[in-house]
Amino acid sequence: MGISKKLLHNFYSNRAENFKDNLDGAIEYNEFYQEKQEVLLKKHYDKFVAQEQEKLEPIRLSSVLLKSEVKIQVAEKLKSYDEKDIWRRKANTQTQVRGLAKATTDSDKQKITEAYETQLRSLDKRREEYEHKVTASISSKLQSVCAKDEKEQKENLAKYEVALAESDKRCKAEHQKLEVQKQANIKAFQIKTDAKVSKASKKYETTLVDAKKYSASKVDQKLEKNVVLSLHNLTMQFGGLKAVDNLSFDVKKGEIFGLIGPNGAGKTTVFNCITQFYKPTKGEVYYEDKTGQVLLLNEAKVHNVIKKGIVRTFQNVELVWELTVLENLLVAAHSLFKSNLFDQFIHTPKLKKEEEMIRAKALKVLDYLGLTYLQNAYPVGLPYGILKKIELARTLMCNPRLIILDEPAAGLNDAETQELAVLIKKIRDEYKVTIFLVEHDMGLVMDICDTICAISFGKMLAIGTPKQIQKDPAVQEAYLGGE
Amino acid sequence: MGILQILLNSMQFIAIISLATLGIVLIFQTSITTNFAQSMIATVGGFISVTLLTKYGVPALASYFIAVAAMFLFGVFIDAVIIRFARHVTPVGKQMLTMGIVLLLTGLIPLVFGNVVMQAPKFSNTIITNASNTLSFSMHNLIGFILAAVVIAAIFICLKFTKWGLSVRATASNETVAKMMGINTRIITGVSWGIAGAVGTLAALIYAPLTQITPTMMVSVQVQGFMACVLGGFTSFIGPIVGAIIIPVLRNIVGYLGADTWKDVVVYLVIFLVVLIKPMGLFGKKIVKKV
Amino acid sequence: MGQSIALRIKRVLKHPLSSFVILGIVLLLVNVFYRAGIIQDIAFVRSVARVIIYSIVAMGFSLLLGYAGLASLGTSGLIGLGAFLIQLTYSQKGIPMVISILICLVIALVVGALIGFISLRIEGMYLAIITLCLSTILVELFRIGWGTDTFNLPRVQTFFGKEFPGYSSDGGLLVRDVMYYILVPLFVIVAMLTSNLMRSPTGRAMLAMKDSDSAAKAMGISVLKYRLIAFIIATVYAVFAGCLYMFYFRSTTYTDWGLALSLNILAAVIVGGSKSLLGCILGCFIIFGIDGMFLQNIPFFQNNTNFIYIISGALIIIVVMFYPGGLAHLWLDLKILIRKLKLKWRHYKYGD
Repeated sequence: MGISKKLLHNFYSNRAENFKDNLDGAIEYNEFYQEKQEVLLKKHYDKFVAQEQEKLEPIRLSSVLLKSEVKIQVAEKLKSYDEKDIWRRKANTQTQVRGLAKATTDSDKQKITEAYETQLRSLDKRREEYEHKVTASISSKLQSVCAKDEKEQKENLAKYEVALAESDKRCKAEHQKLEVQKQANIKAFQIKTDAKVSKASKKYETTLVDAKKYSASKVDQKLEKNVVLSLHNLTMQFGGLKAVDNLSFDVKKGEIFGLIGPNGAGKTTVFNCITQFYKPTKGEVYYEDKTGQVLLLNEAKVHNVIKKGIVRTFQNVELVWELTVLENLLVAAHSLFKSNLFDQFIHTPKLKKEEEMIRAKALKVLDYLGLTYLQNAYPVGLPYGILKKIELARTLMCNPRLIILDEPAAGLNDAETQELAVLIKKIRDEYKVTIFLVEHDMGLVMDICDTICAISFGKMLAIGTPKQIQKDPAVQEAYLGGE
Repeated sequence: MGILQILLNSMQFIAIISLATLGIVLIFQTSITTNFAQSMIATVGGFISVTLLTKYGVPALASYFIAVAAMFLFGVFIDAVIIRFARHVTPVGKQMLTMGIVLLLTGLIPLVFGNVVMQAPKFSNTIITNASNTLSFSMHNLIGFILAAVVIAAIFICLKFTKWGLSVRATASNETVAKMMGINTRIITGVSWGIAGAVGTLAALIYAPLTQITPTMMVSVQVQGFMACVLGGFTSFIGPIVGAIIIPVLRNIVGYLGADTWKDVVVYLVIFLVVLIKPMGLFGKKIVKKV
Repeated sequence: MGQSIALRIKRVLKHPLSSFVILGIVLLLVNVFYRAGIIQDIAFVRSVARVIIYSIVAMGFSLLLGYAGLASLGTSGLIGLGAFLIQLTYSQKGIPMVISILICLVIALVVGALIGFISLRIEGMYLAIITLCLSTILVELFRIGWGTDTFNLPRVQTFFGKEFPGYSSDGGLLVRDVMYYILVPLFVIVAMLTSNLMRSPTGRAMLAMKDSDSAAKAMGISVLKYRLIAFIIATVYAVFAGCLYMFYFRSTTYTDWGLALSLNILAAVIVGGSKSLLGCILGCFIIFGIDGMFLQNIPFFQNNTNFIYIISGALIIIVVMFYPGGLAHLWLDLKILIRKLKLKWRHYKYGD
């Protein structure tokens, strides 16, 4: 009977999670849609403005003096001519340089210099001829259009200004129109999204209630108000070796929690127990997920942990070497893709939309960490500090709730560690996540952690604020060397 | 025909395949390469020996010795020239290299040795029978078995008790660390390839008289040697030998039961089941990576 | 105006799928040329068909090896399985062509799933050998159960009840033409689907799984799911190719599908580049095509059949040693080389 209850609970929990995911996904896509609409508006508006300018051109021409307009246009043509001509001149110079380097006798050198000057003169002559030709052709083209004297110019200028004003009005009207349409699109989409959201919300709420009905009541009371992760008597035993021994602590929401201990104390094992890479021998790991439910993490499969909002980095940087940096981030968001295999075989619009959105998100994350210039590079051969940053970027892709960092400062120098400290704090503040880190670098830990837990040989030594830990005699003895 | 006769008949194949499999596992452990070319090199050795014997009238023992020695050198040569240059290649890539060698040699053998199909004489043509004539056993079989047993035992003893053996096992466990410990891993791998070549040639010499001398004559031996490694476990030395005993016996038992066509299927089935239960082979051990 | 059309054509050509379409057109032309008498020898066309069929297998194998990092030596057994299954369903039981193929694909799915589950327990070399064992067992069971070694397929004459266009009662050749024209578009479609899959989240997930098991799991990638997908696709492709083989060549014996073919396909994929589809096709062309298409017509090679082995062997060794990424890697290197040369020339001419 207990089993069926559990199954029902799991069933409803998963459904609730799915609905929440749909909710969040719809909201996110809504934002993305708004941004896209903004981009589209700009594109259309620019096109319209260009069209208006084209229409106004003849009037504008009639309002300027022939001479000045010809001058301007000829100058432009000459500019583009010069852009090409500069290459010919460079080639000429280079030929001379090469020739002089090879030439042995004075007479040869003389010949080469002469050839250079001849070519230079011919290039100049060609430019002159071009100038003449262009001036003539533009003049004849604009002859009939431009104003011939000041009087005509003044008249036409007035006309032009009128036309310009009207055009401005039209542009503004068009902008208005586009803006209105954009707002309408956004609103319509918002309505659709709201409908989706409310539908999903309702389903979510009811399913949540159902889930709670079947949930093991003892799980619910295990977490205090502000706690997101709680370890209860966690024990991990490998054969005869107790790597983690009866460890218990709470991690509060929104704090930066540090786990320290000498080498071999079992820190990474604790990690792996939380993220379910190891199944704890004894004890429980309780976690409050995005739906506000309390889960027993022990029951989750490794690859489902990320769906609950827990992401982690690795001690040895585990990036995918065969993918570019951007693609690494796309993989990190794998759990966000809802397209099934069929969609992926034929690249349906659904898949394309998702890819576009997640790609934009990845670029934003890269931008946030200052790594945009690396988006198409492969991780192979990049500096270690950068690799760690990419790992960090990966964790931000899935809207995490709890980020677990495994020795983030390993291999970084002092300056980089400082940067990392600032970055971790920034991420905590802006992404509103809880951060749990394991670290050896005392400076970093004492600097940014709100709570520190010190362990040794798998057992808890002390837990408290950095100041408390620094003063604790047991910790000093085991770890800090009695400083 | 009883179980005893079946065992006696299996002895020469046990000898042949255990020699082949020893070569494969030795190379696998020291160069992390699955050597598809093991039996091809052996075939070349067989060709050398038979050609010397039949075409040039070199006395039997001398031609055997020359063949074995030549293939030892050839093995070292292949390691030095090809495998060493492929340090950066993935394990699959190294397998492909050995496959390329197989193709090369398949094409070169007829060019070098001519297209005439030769016949190799047995070590001895006598057949021993017991008193009641119920068991028979060829001398060739016996000699081959004893040779193989001696060689394999010698190598095992060396592996376990000599400094060289220790170096091999160290290199097999972790080449980089072995190098740092002062072991000249280049010599170790080279010698391993050489031994593999020599040992394979010995297998060819035992096998050649039982079949026609063609470039592809040792292919089934190669496959069975491989199967023995899988059955026994690539990570041990004793495992493949055990596998090399099981497979020929199994085949002969099936053949005795009258189902010749089922020989291969049964062997594959057994291997399939064994590996399902023991994923690293009967004696293999798993290496777990720390996360 | 002309410029924008040129730009649009350029954009279409840049699309990764366009190369397959172009390849398909070229392949179709092969048979057209044959019919028109430009290509004289039917063996040439048959060789091309063989390359196409093996390419389908190689593409599935490339997904398995290059993306999911899983080794399998049972490939040829699976093709054989497809050939024998289609003979069973189409020829023996008289089930219409398309449904026969679908049945074979369903069976392939089951076999592939089985191998996928096994792959969770067994790794690396052992897995490769196990696939060999499994596929050999299946093929041998067929052979033993059937009692014959050779399997034949009658000519496909009707398609959903209608006769093939241009089919005449004596025209075995004409039907083969139609088969060829069916084969090529199927090949192109398979190539495009696989290419799409490789450039989708599934492809990336497989690469992640290959490079780092743990990171993949931490990112939400279920190793079981993607191994299953990889093996199922590879198996389905192999069986599908086997069915097509039977429809085109119409006869086979069980010795066709031994370890040697598996190793050749592995070689083709590695020589061509294990992550590139065009590379696989090129690899198949080199290993399976050149012999039948060109070399047979040169007397030197006809007399010394061993030379082909030497060339293939040397080629494999050279590619693996110097271009571990296969010929696809060579192609990329060439592009970089050309760019470098261009820069050098610029420096020479303009001195900057």
